Order: sequence, then structure tokens, then C-alpha cells
Amino acid sequence: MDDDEKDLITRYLNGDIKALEVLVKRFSPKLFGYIINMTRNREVAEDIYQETWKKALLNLSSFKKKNFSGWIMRIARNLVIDFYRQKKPNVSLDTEDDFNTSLRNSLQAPSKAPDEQVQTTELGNKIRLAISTLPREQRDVFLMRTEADLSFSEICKAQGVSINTALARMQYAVAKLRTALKYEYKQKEGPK
Amino acid sequence: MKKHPQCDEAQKLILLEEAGELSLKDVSRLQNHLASCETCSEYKSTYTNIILSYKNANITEAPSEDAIKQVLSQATFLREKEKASRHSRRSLPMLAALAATLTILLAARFIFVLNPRANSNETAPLIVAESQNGNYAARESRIKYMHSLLDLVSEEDIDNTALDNGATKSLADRLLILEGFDLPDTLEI
Repeated sequence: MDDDEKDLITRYLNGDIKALEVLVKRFSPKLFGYIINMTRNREVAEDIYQETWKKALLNLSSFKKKNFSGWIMRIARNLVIDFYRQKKPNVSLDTEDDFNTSLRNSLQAPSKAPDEQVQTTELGNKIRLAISTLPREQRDVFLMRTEADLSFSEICKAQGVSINTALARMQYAVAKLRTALKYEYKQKEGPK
Repeated sequence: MKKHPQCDEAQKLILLEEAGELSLKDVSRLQNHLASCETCSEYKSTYTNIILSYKNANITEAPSEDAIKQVLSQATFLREKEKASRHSRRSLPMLAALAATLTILLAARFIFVLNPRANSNETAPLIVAESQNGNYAARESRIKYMHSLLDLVSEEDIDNTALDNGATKSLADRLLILEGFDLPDTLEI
């Protein structure tokens, strides 16, 4: 945890809400990005996001670890797991996967401005769609690494597995993404 | 195609290298392998491409403003709650101190009223003697000392050192001695 984060936490614990606002805004993209990609439902993601912060705030005074990012991501991951445990197996995929539907719709819509930015976003969306098809454990490792920027030693702690298992999950995820995005990368690299 | 065991390890090292978790020794081991393995070199380039495309695509979704506001109001609420409970935790010892002081005063008063000597002219022999002798300075300094003892009671309790029965008795004894009573087993002042 860098000094700035430590300072923000101390200031909040001494009553400075503005300091917490900085911390919340700094970690929200990573945190929410991870949660929404794991749950694939905006409404559920917002609930888990708020619950994550609530739990973090309740335990902040006893927080003595070095890595705030790893700590809060672990809280979020546990809540995502709780969500999957509580979820009824007969919930329709149509209602659950509004995230994927909107993603698919956005990919089907032809882009009228094929500039570099649009291409980058399209590729990003395709990657995201491919990620959403990964098994949960593999998606979890991939998102913790890319969205939350956690190291593999932090990921294996969060998942409660050995570093070899975490690495193997990432390998499987990469292999699947590689197959799913084969065409995209061939197009990007051009004919050899 | 079956993967070579060396390639499997090398691919794990590629993942660790990207995360900045590879030791210098392993970096050179990986480089040696990559120099002679086309499959792993291609794996490294694909992996880097996937990670970079994902990060550069800027597809991270943000929570709604409302969700952020909820978090911040929750934070404000928790801080205020914590502040209030801290305040009540602080006032508890003060209340205990007050109760202890009252107990001492009541105990002193009880002994003073019920003691047969207390109702006679022997009520406060030392003070009476001092008054008769016109030694007001000595009397005043004793009274001041009594006040300082009472102050001590509350300060001790504010510091969370609750008065036990022994300490209470000792203070009551001191007050009575100052009043001029000759108690058995008295404490030295």
C-alpha cells in the first residue's frame, strides 16, 4: 500500500470524508470492472459494489495489511461467490445476462466510423465477450490480473489456491481467449 | 498437440514475467527457452496482445453516481456512529468516577454522622484545636489537600483506573484522618 493510500485511510478514520471520496473514486473502476465482469449484471454488480465498500469501511480501523487493493478485491470476490451460491439454478439466462446481451448488440451494430479508437473499443468488447464465456474460476483469475492489477501471489491468496493452480487457470483462460480471438489477431497482424 | 513439460513451465514464467513477479534467475532461464522455442515465443506475443488490448480498450465500466453517493453516505454514517460510541465510551469512566466520589463522600458522611464521637464535641478535634489555636493556615492546607484528593479520584477514573474497594477505603480513611479522627490502622498521610 503506498503512503498516499495509507494517509487517505488514516484521514478518513480521523473523520475526513473527503479523503475517503478520493479512495473510493480511485478504486471504483478496478473494483466495479471486476464485479460487473464476474456477475454480468449491472444491478447485481452495483449491489455487490456497495456491499464491498460497506464491509471494507466496517473493518477499515483494523486493516493493517500492506495491499489495500488486494484486500478490497478479496472482499468483492467473496461477495461474488456468495452471490453465485445464493443464485437459484433456474434463473433465466436472458434476465441474468443483460450484460452479454447489450455487449452482443453493440457488436452486431455496424460501426460507421472505423477509426482506430472504434477498432480498439470493438476489439476490447470482443475480448470482454470472450472473457464472459470463460469458466468462473478462469474468468476470476483473468479479471483479477487485468482489471484489478493483482499479482499472482495476491490472486492465489484471494482464491485460496496454490500459485501453480492460479497460473494454470490463467493458462487455460489464455488458451480459450486465443482460440476465440484468433481471427481478430490474424486481421490485426495482417497477412504474413 | 501435446505440450512439452518445459513449455508448460515457460508459459507460467511468461505469465509471472508480465506481472513483474519473476526473479532475475528465472528471467534468464525464460529468455534461453524463448530463444529456441517458437511456440512459447508466439504464446508470449499473444498473451501480451490480449492483456494490452483489454487494458487499452478502455472498456471498464464505472459504477453509477448514485452507487458512489450511497457508499459515501454510508461512510459518513459509520464515522458518526463511531464518533458517538467513542464519546459514550469516554463518558463511562467519568460517570464511574463521579459515582466513586459520591460513594466516598457518602461513606465519610455516614461515618461522621453515625460515629458517637462525631455527634459530640470531638467531631473534628484536630480542626477544632487548630481553630481554637488560631492556626488557620494549617487548617486551610489540610482542606486544600482534601480537595486535591477528591480531584485525584476523578482523574484516576478518567484514565480508566476504576477505584476498587481498597482504594476507596484508603481515600475515605485519609479524609477522616484529615478531619482529625484517630482511626485504628490509619494510613500515613
